[in-house]
Amino acid sequence: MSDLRFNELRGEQVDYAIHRQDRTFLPSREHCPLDPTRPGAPATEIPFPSFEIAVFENKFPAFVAPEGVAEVVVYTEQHEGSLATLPQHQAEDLMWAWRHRYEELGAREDIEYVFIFENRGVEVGTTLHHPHGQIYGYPFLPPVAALELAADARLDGCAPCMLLARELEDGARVVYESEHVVVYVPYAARWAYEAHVLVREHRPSIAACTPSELAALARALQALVRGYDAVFDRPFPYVMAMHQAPTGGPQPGQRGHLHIEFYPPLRTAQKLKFLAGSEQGAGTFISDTLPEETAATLREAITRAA
Amino acid sequence: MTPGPEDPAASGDAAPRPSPESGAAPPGEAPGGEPYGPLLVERLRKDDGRALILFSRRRAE
Repeated sequence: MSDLRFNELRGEQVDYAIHRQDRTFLPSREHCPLDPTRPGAPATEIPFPSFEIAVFENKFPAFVAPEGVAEVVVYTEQHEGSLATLPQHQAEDLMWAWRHRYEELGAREDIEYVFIFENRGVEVGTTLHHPHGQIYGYPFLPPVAALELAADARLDGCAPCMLLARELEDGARVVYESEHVVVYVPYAARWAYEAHVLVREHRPSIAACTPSELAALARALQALVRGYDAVFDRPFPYVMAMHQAPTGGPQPGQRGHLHIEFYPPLRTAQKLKFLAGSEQGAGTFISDTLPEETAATLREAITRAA
Repeated sequence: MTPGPEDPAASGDAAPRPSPESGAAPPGEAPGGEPYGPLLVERLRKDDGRALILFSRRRAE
């Protein structure tokens, strides 16, 4: 159902999943496939009248066994809302569900990298509004993960640990802190309101986190998304990308440092950051905001929304 | 909807799985669930063979 082709110029895989062209696209409220199946109503992906968190193999998968997997993670049975509006215990449960999937999918021979992510908002290409994320089990190490491991080699140690220490020392871009988790706009942020969420301790993956750290991670993610929504007083679109240890290759589950990156495309309330010539053609982001300034805005919004 | 291959019901040893149509025991309280941290994990197969996993908070005994 999908075909991998290696792009020699870029040195990366490209996945062709042409069946995805016809996937469900912004259905009406009455036909949301991620809602519970109500009595007398059309069956959805979850054939129960209620549920808490559901994970299912994507009907329009980008990757299929024996060359990977694509799953949908439905955060709640509620059609409206977001990661931020989940009850606190449910957000914590979501961390455990993510952990469960990372462990189980990571144990598969055909999966090298478990990628947990969320696309929020039509601005980033979301096709379903119901609060949800996805998981891709890649049959290879994707380029971004490889770059981060290369950063570890270049800096002769854990790059996220070093960057976290620098951010904490500087302080200007830290937007949220708790006993276990720090959130900051990175020094070299590519997106105006890009944020990185890290557990203070060096944890290669979500599987290595303690229960307290998982709970703290859930609180931090919710605080960040609430803050985002308060920046321009509107739902804030973003791509959320969880980076953690590859589950294939040498030392599976051990290389890397769990962190969650947010790429929101808004640079003002009405303007989007587009990936244009320099970004796509030359691989160099051009930003018209400074991380210190957007961090100050985001920090204030997080405080206000708490 | 059928039990997944990992489900105890597949071995015939577990109690019958509630059918969604019957509205019987809600997800997370079916006997086939396995504990995972604070959660109960139910593994199912959709009619088209795709895996479906339901996570729910474990209820107090």
